[in-house]
Amino acid sequence: MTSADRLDQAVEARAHVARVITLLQSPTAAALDQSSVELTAAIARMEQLQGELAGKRIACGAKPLIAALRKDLQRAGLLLRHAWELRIGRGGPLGYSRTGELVPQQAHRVRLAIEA
Amino acid sequence: MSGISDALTSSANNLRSLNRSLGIIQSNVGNASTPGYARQDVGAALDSASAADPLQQASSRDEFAESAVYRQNSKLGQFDQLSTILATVEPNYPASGDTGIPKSISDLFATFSALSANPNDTSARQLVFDRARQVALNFNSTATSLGNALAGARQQVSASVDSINHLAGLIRDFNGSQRDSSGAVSDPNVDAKLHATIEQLSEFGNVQTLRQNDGTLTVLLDGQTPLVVGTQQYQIQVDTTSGPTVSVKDSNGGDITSQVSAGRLGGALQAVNQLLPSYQNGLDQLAQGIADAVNGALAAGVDASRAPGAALFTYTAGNAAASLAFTGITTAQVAAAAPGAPGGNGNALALSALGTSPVLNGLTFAGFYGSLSSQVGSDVASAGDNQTAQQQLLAQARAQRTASSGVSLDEEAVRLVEFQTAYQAIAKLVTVLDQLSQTTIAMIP
Repeated sequence: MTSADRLDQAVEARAHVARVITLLQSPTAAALDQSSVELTAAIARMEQLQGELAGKRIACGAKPLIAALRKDLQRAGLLLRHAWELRIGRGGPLGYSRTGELVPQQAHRVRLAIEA
Repeated sequence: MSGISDALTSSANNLRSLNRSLGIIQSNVGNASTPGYARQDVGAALDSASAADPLQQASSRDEFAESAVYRQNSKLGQFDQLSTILATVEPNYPASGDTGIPKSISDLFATFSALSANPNDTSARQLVFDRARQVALNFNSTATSLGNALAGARQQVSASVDSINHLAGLIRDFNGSQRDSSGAVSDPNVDAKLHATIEQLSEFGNVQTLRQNDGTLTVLLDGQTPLVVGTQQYQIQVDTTSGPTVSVKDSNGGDITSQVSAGRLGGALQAVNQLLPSYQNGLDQLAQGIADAVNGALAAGVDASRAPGAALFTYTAGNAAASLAFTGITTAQVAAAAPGAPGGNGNALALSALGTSPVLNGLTFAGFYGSLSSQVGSDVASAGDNQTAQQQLLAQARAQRTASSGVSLDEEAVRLVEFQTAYQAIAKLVTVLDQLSQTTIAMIP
């Protein structure tokens, strides 16, 4: 596998994850099935790439792409968790922590002075 | 006769029912793309004669899905506002040392180094002045830009409050129409306008709604501050007179700033009260640190007439970056020599060494600037990332809202099981890919 091939593998893997993000924005059962297919394909690409790099310690231009893929993957995970919260209807409001993580927030108490 | 009469009555009822059903369908089709409109359902079959009103009209609106959209829209508004404001600040904090403040600091200490090679050279002394002026100008320029960004952000706070009050006024009017409409069923067109307006409102603040028995909606800001209760509006206000920070007050004058958590208002308040002042403080600290260190070192040396060196920089305490200036001393007043060796370069060497000494909070001046610059860059990147994530979460919540209308509980239960299985499978795949990519990155030198 040439350096360009390794780069292609990383590009393709990231493209699969990007499609998962798009699919999860409308999380129907069919979209979830297709997301599994895309993620499986991304895993296959990554396994090929890993097999190629194993034990060689060679520099590879795909490194920043894989780092970006991991960031996209975090977002896919976020969408997945949120889709589940929406589906089961139990999730309270979500907010961002100081470090930018999406976390559940405590419900606000309604002021009792409100006149209905 | 009674048999014929009953048959006619029954036919008339069916025709009335059919007419009403057609009206509901027509309304659904006509409003298919109306913002905020929820599909209206027919409550019973056409031939039902047992119920008093066999065609009870019911909205398919899912309030949970609606509130999810409001929440995500509110978060998106916050990060959109924050990104917009911070984008105007970031260019003033160049990360490279080739331009702006870092270059001018580096140039200044390079001229001290050159001065140590030729301590009595007038042109070397003149160059120190030129570089000092450049340092001051760069700090002044960055402070002015920050001040402009702060002024712009304060305007955004006011604009958001105006928008919230305007939209709350519209909701109050819609509530009036809801209350006026006869019967238990809300007018779907008014209801559509009402919900579209609340969605608009959610962009500016984190709003919650409570449906009242009379069909009106109570709207709360951040769950605590009433904006609209029935046909009564409670306006919020901005207070810019209570010092450098901006506060938001409820209709009774109570400070609700700390409660405002999201929306454009939340984003603007975060920028005005937290981020921009912290950037300003950091810049002032750096400007004051450089001025004090250089002036102190000069005062420790002697000039051409063996008098203690004069200060190179002047500034106003508390506003150091904006007021930093070259004092206008003459070349003869530059204290290049140490007190024990007049005419020498002892003090010029000490001045030059300041550039690489950890004199500001344990950091060099360049290091301190780097921490400021990376903080701004990190805040901008974080706001941008969160903005992108929120766009996707909002799209998802809207899709869910569209899909959730009129779904039967049985269908939903089946879908839930399907969804749970798929969810678990995907979650596992995400974990596997994450671990795999982490291992792969570790293998690349």
